[in-house]
Amino acid sequence: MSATPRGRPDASMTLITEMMQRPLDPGYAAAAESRQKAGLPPATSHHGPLLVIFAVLIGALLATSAMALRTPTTATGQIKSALVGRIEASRAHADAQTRFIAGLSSEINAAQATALGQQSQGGLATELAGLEIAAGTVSVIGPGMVITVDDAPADVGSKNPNADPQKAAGVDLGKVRDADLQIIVNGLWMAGAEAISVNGHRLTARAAIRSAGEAILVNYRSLVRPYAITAIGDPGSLSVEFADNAGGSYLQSLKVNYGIRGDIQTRDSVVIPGEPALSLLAAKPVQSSVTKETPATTFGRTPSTTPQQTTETSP
Amino acid sequence: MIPALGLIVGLAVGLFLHPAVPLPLQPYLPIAVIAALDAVFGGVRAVLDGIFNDKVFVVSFLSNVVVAAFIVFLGDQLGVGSQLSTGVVVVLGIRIFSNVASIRRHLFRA
Repeated sequence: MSATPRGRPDASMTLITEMMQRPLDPGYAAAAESRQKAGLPPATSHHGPLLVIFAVLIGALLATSAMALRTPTTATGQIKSALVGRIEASRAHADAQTRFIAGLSSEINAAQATALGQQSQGGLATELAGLEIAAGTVSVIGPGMVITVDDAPADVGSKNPNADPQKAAGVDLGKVRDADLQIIVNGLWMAGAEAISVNGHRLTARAAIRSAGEAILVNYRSLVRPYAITAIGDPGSLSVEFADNAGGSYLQSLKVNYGIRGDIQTRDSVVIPGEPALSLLAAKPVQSSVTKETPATTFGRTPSTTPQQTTETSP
Repeated sequence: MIPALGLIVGLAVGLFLHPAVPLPLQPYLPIAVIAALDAVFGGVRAVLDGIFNDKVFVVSFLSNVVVAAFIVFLGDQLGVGSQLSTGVVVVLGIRIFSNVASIRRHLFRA
């Protein structure tokens, strides 16, 4: 094979030909030839101690490298799956507890209703119902609107001439942040919304829209996008006033500048779930003339109504 | 047969003791594995060809590992470590495949 005449057609590929056709170490052939010249059989024993030692060594090398190069990924994977399992277990536990609380509170409500009925004070029962609606502990239904906000599509940053590319490299500007939701929700309160929920989490007097890492939290529960903000309010004025005020214009600027998707739908009837009331431990009603006067403030605007509601719901 | 047992013993030792490999040496492990596999398949082929020689086997294994590691080390120093690793893997991989093909012809006559 090597003693071919000149002008082989594959002369330019000698390296590959060599590698493909004579892959065996030529040392084996040479050693066999010299052994045959010395009158020995061409092959040596397969059971020499040196060979066994090297076989053990090679086996250990294979196993060691497999373990060393594989362990880091499995270790992180194990930790990750363990953490995910714990998160899911805690979430399931929390959901079960929430259902339990809902069951208990409906029992309490029934007991309260019978107790109030027995005392034949119908005024108290209706007052309680009104306070519950104001405090946001019961589900409410009414005309309103649903604003669906979602992150910008992945490629919009490159198309947007207004986005600063240097800033976009560090922070994803097309992502909805907690502050965005806060401004939109404040705009809805300003427009006269009477009840608001974000992804089914009612914004009560003690609710907060926060962020933890990448996630947006409402009532200590993390939300997944898209974010659906449901508001109940006067069907004629709510959407119009929202579009006019700071919240509406902020949403509009998010859409125009950062490609964030925001969809406003007016509905005849939306349902906003209640949030189980968190009992107040430290706050006590103030028995003074100031408290008597505060309820006179306008109803429907959060900043003024929230403290008032909180005081009244506490026993 | 005894070397095959030795290989299994070595695998078991590595699996159960799993010795810690220092971090700076870890990039060389894949290359060392490929080089060792090349030597092993070359040795098996030589056995089947009837020209096996334990000295040649040991020397070829050691030189394969050392040269492959040296090439990768040099590549790391020059900033082309991954490319040279790829080169080593390609060359030794081709050799492994043709040795395996030859072993296959010996064993199955196909």
